Amino acid sequence: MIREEDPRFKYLERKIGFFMAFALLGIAVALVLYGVQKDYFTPSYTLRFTADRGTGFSKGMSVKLSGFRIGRVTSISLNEQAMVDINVEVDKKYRTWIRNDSTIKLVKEGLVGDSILDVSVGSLDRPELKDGETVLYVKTKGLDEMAQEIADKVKPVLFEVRDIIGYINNPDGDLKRAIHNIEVLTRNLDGTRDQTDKLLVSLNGSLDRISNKAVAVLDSANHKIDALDISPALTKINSTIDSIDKKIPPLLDKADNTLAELAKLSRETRVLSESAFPKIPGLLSQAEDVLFSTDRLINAMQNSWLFGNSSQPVGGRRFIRGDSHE
Amino acid sequence: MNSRYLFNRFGILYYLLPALLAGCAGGGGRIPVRSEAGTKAAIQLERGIRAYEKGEIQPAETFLADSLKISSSIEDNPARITALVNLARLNRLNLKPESATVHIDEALKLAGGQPDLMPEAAYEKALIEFAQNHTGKALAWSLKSLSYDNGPPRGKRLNLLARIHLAAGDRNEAASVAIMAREENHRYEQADEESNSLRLLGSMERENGRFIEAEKLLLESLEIDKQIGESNKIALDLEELAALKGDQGNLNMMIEYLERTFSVHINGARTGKAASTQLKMSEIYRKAGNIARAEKALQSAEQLMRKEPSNHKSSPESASPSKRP
Repeated sequence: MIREEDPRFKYLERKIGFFMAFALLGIAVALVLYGVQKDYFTPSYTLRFTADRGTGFSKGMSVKLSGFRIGRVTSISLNEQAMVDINVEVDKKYRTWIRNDSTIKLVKEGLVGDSILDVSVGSLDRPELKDGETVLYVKTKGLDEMAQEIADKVKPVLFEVRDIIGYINNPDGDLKRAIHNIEVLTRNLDGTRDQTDKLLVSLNGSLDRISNKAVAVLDSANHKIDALDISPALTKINSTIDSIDKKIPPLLDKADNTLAELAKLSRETRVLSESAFPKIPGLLSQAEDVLFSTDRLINAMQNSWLFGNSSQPVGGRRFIRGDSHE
Repeated sequence: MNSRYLFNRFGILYYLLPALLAGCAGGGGRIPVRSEAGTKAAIQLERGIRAYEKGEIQPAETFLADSLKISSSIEDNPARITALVNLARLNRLNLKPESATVHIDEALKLAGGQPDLMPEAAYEKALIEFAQNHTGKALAWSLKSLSYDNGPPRGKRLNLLARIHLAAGDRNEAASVAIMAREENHRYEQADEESNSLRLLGSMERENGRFIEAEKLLLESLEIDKQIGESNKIALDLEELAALKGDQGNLNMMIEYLERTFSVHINGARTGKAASTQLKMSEIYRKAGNIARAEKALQSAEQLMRKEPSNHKSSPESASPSKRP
């Protein structure tokens, strides 16, 4: 029988107690770390949004802002309008970036990465979203939709390409016939070249003949020009010029005389005006004096008993008529 | 009867007759002799007034300025005031109120000691202020011009006062002053101003809705203006009568009066006013539903307006009485 005094069993209860306590502590630490990883200890608030379909969403899905994880999807449920209500929990410390004009959308991280929810940064002049408020969901196109869209765009192009290829391949088409014609033309080029060579040789001989004939024509023309006599015409022209030469001097003399007469006339006029002009102011003064004397005489007569009342005195109408309605 | 006989018989008469005539001529007292410069100033003044009446505005201004210069050189203040008032009036009628104001202010400064010239100067000042819509100042100067004399010009000064009251919105006062003006003008046989009074009264009666009285007054005014041959005023009377017919709703008669107004303006070489009359006629024709006539009147107005600027530049209507037939 094993005695209880065996040294291996000495303090056994205490050792088991320590072991149990250590194990429990380990479990507790593991649980805390798990909680931290799952953001169970981070203060958070809930935002909600509604999508038309739930494809791509999953519980626990990350919510990111500018590439940083700020929360996760907590619940996905179908509402009475057959739309999908989704709640997300967001770390409170990022609240300041999420305003009422922020949007949320489902995107893929890279081409084959996980789907995440991406929240855009809101305008700082707009109010922050509070717990339970709705953030605007922006629908993004899925791969199938994008593929369909591309297919819709590419399809007409492919049809065009098919038509073009069909046109090119048509044996009775313009292109095929043009290629055939070029082939025939190329085949006949050798014969054409031979004929051109012959033509050039023949042209060379013809040019020599033409050159000889042109020289003969020029010689003949030269002889004929030498034979021409223009001296009678020149003589006639000379006699005409002589006649004009004789007639011009008398004409010039006459013009000179006329100009001299004109100059004389002008001098006489100037002399006359020089003598007459100084007299004009005097004459004007005299005329003015006569007028003033007449005015005085009339003035005196108007003041006399004989004419005084018969007419208006000079200067009686002193004002321009000042009509009251003008 | 030979010549010796005749000389012995009537010789005494050859000596007596000249002596008698000389005595008669000298019997009226001492003949006032004007200085040569004074005579020149008076002649230039007379020439200026005559040039204005012929519609020659620039020469008129030159003559009047010359008269002012000569009279200033001999310190003949009455002549200076006369020339200044005339220059002010010429400038006002030539639509130069600033220049008119300068001249009239100088005239008023000199006229302080000349009670015979002050009324006309104050009257002109009132006209200038009224032309610039300074109703308060115009009223003050108009009353001042009336405080001096009671002669023939009183009627025209009362007419102006009535117009100023009317412009100031005091219709009752305007009417009573216009009635006084009419009486004064009639008493002193100032036909042109009497017609102004009648037109003013007629216009006021029309605005009061007393159409029969208005028509009577306006027709009387028209008759006087026809007698004195004032084309511009005949047109004014006809315009007022057209407005009266318009107020009575008689568009046919209104058109008839406007046609007459147009004829008077166009023959009086007042193209701008003729164009304005055609525009009025176009509106009335349109209102009466005669679109073809309305368009024709509008075209005629446009043609006249195209001619208007050159006419206006050569001689402003308001300052060219010679344009009146």
